[in-house]
Amino acid sequence: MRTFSEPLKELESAEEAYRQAFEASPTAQVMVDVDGKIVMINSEAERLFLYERGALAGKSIDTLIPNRYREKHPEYRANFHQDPTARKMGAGRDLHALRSDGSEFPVEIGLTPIQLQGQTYVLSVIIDITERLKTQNDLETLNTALRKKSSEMEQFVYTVSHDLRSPLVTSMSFIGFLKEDIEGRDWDKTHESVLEIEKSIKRMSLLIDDLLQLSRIGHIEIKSCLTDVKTQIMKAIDNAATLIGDRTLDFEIQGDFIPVYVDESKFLQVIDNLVSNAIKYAWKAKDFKITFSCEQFENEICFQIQDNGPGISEEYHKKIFGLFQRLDQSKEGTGVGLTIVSKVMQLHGGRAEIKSRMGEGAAFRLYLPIWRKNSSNPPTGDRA
Amino acid sequence: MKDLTHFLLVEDDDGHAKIIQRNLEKFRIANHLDRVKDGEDALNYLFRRNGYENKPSPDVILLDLKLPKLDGHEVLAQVRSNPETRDLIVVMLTTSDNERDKAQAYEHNVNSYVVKPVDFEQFQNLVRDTGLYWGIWNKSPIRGDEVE
Repeated sequence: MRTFSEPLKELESAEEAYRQAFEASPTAQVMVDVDGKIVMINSEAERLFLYERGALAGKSIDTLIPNRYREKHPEYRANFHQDPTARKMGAGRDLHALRSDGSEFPVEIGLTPIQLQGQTYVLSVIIDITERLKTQNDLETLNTALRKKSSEMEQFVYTVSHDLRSPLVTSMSFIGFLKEDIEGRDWDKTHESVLEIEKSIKRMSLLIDDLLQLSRIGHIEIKSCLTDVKTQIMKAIDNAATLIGDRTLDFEIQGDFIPVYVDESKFLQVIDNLVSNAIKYAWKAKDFKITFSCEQFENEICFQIQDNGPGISEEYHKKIFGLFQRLDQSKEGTGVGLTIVSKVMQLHGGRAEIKSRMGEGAAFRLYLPIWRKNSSNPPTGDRA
Repeated sequence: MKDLTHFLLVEDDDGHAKIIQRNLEKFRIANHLDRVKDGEDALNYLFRRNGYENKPSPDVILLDLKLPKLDGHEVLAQVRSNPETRDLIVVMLTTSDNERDKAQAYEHNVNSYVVKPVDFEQFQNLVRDTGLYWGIWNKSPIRGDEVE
């Protein structure tokens, strides 16, 4: 036979079981009364908000809400009590919670109304979504980078297919002409056709070599070491000897050069390309001269290679770094050189720019970021 | 009234220029052919400036797409936006068979967009047909200042 006190004992043990389940929950949980006073809070919630055990009991829930939201909160609470159904808090809004040290963190909150002895309480389950947002953000960044790469790839394939087809068209047409020339015994034209075929095959081979060089740059790891740029400049000038031939080249290295962390061979290639460009485009200038200088800014070091040639009009400044872009078809080259310059500088976390106006020579500027001891390591580059 | 067929070839590739020129000569289509090597010079020629002041208005412009300085799209856009040149016959003659290039060219009302074929005979026939169609059979309208 059940005694009078048995239902009471059952009730007490049910409450104790609920308390234990509430406390043991791995998610932060807070129960508040109709006035927003905290009546129950589990250890996980106290840990999340950086409070000692029991420090929040009896405090207002507003303690856990950043100041800027406190004014509106009683209104939201009243609305909830008018229609107390289980739901997510603040649908469509970014929610933030406040720790005891004043720092904030993004949260997701589930609200459930609970009836106890004729009173309505609200149980809030609070989830810290800092990591989730970070992952989401990382994913979006990665997606954007992927989309960019894919569109670059599309552009690359388009350009390559266009430019490789061009010498093929020439060869095939002149082979056709050659047959006609031989049949008509026109030896002058025969000779001309053979020369055209030879030229376009050479061009095709040059394009393929340059493309290979460009693709290698995208795949080889950057091996940075402390480099004296002056030495690299001297090497580049030596390398240009055949291009210079018996012309007189005056060059000047102005001022001090700050040593930088770069991949020596890649950086030499950049200087090589810029020096040979200057020679190709500017050597007709009166008193042809190339000047090298170095300038330090707050976060960057800039190396400048300046010639006194005809200069490049501003409207073409962006274009010239594009693949197969050439401003003067009478000059040798495939239009890959400056693309390589730009790519190598990007791999070093830097950039290449041009400063020039028609008639005032051209200055190519190579910017490298300054990596301070406390910042992250020199970059190994965002490889394609 | 002028009766010569005057072509302006805008082509940076020497080989391609020779092929087009030789084919036009072979079929006796062009009475007169001038060539410029980049987009900027094409506009100088068409707007008669910077050394091209005495050049006549061409009957047909054979315009390559990928050109130094200004590309074919930019040249076409400027030709179409100027009342002096907007009625000129422009044939885009290019190695690009990219859909986006074709769409962009037709957006700017190119008269024809033709892809340079790799095959010799096809290229020869294409130059012949393009030359005949736009140079001989479809003359551009004569402007008021040219009638007398």
